[in-house]
Amino acid sequence: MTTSTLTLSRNRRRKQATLPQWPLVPAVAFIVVLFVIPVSQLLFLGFYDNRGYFTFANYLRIFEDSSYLNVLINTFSYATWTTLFCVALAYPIAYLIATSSPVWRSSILIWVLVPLWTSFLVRVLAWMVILGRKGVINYYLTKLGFPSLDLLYNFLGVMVGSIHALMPIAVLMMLSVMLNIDNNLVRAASTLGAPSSVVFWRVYFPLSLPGVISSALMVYVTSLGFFIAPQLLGGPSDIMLAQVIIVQLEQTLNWNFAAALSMILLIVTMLIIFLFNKVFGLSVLTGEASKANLKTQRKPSLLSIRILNSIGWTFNVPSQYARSIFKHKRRKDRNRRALLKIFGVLAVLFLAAPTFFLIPVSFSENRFLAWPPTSFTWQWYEAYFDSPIWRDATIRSLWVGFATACLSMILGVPAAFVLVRQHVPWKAVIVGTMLLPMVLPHIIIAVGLFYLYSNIGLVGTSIGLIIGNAIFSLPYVVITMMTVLKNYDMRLDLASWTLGATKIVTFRRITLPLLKAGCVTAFLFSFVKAVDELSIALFVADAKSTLLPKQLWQEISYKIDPSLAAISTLILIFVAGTIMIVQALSAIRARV
Amino acid sequence: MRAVQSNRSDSSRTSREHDGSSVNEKSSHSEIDKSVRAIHTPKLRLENVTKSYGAVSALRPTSLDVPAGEFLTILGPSGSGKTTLLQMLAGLVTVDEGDIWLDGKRATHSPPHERGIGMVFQNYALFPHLTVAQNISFPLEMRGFTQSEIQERVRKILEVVKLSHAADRLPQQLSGGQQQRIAFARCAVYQPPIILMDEPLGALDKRLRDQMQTEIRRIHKELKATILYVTHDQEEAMSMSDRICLMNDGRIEQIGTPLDIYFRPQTIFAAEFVGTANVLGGTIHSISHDTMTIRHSGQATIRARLRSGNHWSVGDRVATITRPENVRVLTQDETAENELSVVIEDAMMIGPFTKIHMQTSDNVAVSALTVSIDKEGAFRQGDRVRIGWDINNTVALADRSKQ
Repeated sequence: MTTSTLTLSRNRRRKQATLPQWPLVPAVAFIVVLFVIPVSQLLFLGFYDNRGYFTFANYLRIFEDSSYLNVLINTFSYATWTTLFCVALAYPIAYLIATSSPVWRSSILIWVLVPLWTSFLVRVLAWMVILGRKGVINYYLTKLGFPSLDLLYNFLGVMVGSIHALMPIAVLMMLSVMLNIDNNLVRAASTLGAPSSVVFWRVYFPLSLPGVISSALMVYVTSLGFFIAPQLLGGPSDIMLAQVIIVQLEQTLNWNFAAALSMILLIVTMLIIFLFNKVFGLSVLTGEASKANLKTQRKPSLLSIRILNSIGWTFNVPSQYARSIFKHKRRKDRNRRALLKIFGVLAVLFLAAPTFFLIPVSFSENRFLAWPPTSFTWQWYEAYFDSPIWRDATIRSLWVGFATACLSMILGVPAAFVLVRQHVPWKAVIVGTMLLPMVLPHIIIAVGLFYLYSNIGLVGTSIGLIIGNAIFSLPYVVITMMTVLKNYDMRLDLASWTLGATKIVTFRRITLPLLKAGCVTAFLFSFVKAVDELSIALFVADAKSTLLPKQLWQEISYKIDPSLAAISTLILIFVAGTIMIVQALSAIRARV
Repeated sequence: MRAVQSNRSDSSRTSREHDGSSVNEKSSHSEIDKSVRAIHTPKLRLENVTKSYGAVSALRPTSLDVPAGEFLTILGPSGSGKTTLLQMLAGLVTVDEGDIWLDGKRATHSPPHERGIGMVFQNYALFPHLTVAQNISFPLEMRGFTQSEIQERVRKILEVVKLSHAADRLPQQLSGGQQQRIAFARCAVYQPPIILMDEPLGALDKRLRDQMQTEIRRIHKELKATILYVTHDQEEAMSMSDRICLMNDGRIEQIGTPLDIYFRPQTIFAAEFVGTANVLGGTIHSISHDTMTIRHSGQATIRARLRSGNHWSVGDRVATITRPENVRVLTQDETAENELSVVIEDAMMIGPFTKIHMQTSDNVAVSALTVSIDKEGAFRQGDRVRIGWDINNTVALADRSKQ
């Protein structure tokens, strides 16, 4: 008995030692050194004054000064409203896509993907064209004889811009859960005698709720640190925490106070994530809750199941009640489906259409972003191509984006291999830490990096920019590659070995060709995201090394003219091209 | 009996041998082996091979010899260790302890591509990004065949599996049965001396499976290959194999020809897993020179033939095994060597045969299989009848269940 246990444990140890786990090390080291340490530094920084003495003054100031308190309240109510609207609007879209035929599915999906991949700045600019005093909506209102409305520079403008900005993520996260719902469950429920509304509320809805809740979490934490829409579309009363942090850093250079503000943001975010993880488990977030890996995954807690079911119940009761009242004119399922389609198409239109208003404006001779465009000119495109600042910023952005994508692939792909294929101790902690940059407000990480960089002289350098962007793109690479690897059938490798191929030949001839599409998708996504990333550009780039998003941000803040629309159009073309490549690749992957 | 099972306690010796640290011991060991094996070298030999995953042991010490050209089926319920055994042979799973010999050479630690073993996987494992022809030529390329030779061989094997027209299609454009044939062709094209098949027909429907079974048998004879075939389908095992290796709970339960296993099961598990068995327990009442009498319950006795190699004594607990097709429902004045009074529970006509389920007075379920007769209500539920069977169709086994 004892001997056999001994040999057993010895064998296990020997086995573990032979499996290489070092490919995981660079990625973990990268995240720890450049993400965990800088962010935890902020934690301490807030407790010191500018002379280096320990103090609570920074935190006291936040809670004593009513203007900061207002900002805090503003931020949380803004995030809450954004989340509510995003989730409520995204659910029907996701449901429509999930229940459509494959052909319809991909053609609707592409209109969710286009805004997802398009720069936040471009999309906010589009809303300025639509909502502005001389914008699209007001133009047609006055033409019809209505008074023009104040749609911009107030809470309404902020909400519209933010919902538009964050909804695509919500749709995709819900969709990933909905597509895993076994359609037979719905059929089974209806054969068991449940009317279609009950089937939906008691079966489909609770099953899709993990997606709803994880997308709500994602939208909430993102909007807590979101400053683009509040800054550009909001008025003086719509100042959010992130904007105050930027002001503290850029204008008053009060590091310690900025750190204290960031800390509050971080603590709230971590608290929410912690609670979420306790109840639902973070694996929901990474879309790991699919049937395929139920074995490796932690079982959902009883509490989460109870919560999900009771939410389904509460929605079901009023709908049942309504049914009993309106029994005589109960709408048929087909009508309901038609209604859903109309609503879904409208919501997709809301997502996809706005950016296209920028295209005609970019050819307008009118100096302001006014609707309708007047006459036709190429002058704004010429201005872009003639400007050395823009050209510089574009080239640097593309190069930084490319290098970022390369770096995150080099770090992320081997890490994903180890995490999927081998038994790694502390796996949940490692994966959680790697994915954390995705759910934390970008501004916190950017501030932490800025502090680290200013101490070691990396501000304004390409390396600094590349590293900073890689912190955000690494999680996407790891998630994408882990998903691809989990779906990869290991038996193909085994088969290849038995057919006489060595491990190296197998990797080159079988594994790599099959993973290629996934790799390219991960690469392109991190490339596009790095080109678009504003927080890093804002803090880490300096005046001499400006980047495309920073230049856009500054120009939108100071002077708005159609040259911005021209640049946005070019960005749109770039994004559309990239998506086409990705779609073509995923079509290949689907075939495989 | 070629298979040996042992619960080896001396694990330290083998594990040292594993590491290859003791050169002397190893060389002297293999010299003796060579002289012994020169007389009768099995194509494939397992020597006390074990495997465990964490605390779960997937394969207890197992030994097995397979002579060249044999069609050996590894049969067993899921989780009995059959796939582990196969993957060890292919070199896809490391061996914890023990040794694997191929053609008299030790291959315990050789990588899969050096073993010259062909394997057909459960879900075929066809490379999805390669065409049928490219899939089949893959092993040939790995072996450095010339381009013209590859083309020739691929063409020939595609003719054998009757899929020449599909050469340029991708695997997912083929039906399940066609994919199966391609998987087999990919393995057979380089004529490996040993072919391992892991439930290759599991995903096919009954008709296709029958066809493929005949096909595999035919190709086995044609290629004169040694085949190890894993299945959990006992009929498939009996119809195809030279020998069956029955596995249960990580051990070899019994190994022998289909006739051996069916008519002379050595354990209750073997009797019940292969075919159906009426198991009746009891204690030995008396032993004559070739027959023992077993007291089943009350006054009922069952007699069984004594087999050589068994050592029984009066008072031992035994279980008797009788196949349903050997059980007759007796008419009023008919007698049999073994008789029992039972009540009919149900009778099912399944075409040529009728299955009769009955219960003894101690509520033990027994069944009989008789040729169907065209008579309504021949066996009615609740009827009390006598059943009988011959001594020669009764196998007595040690009953370990109640110890």
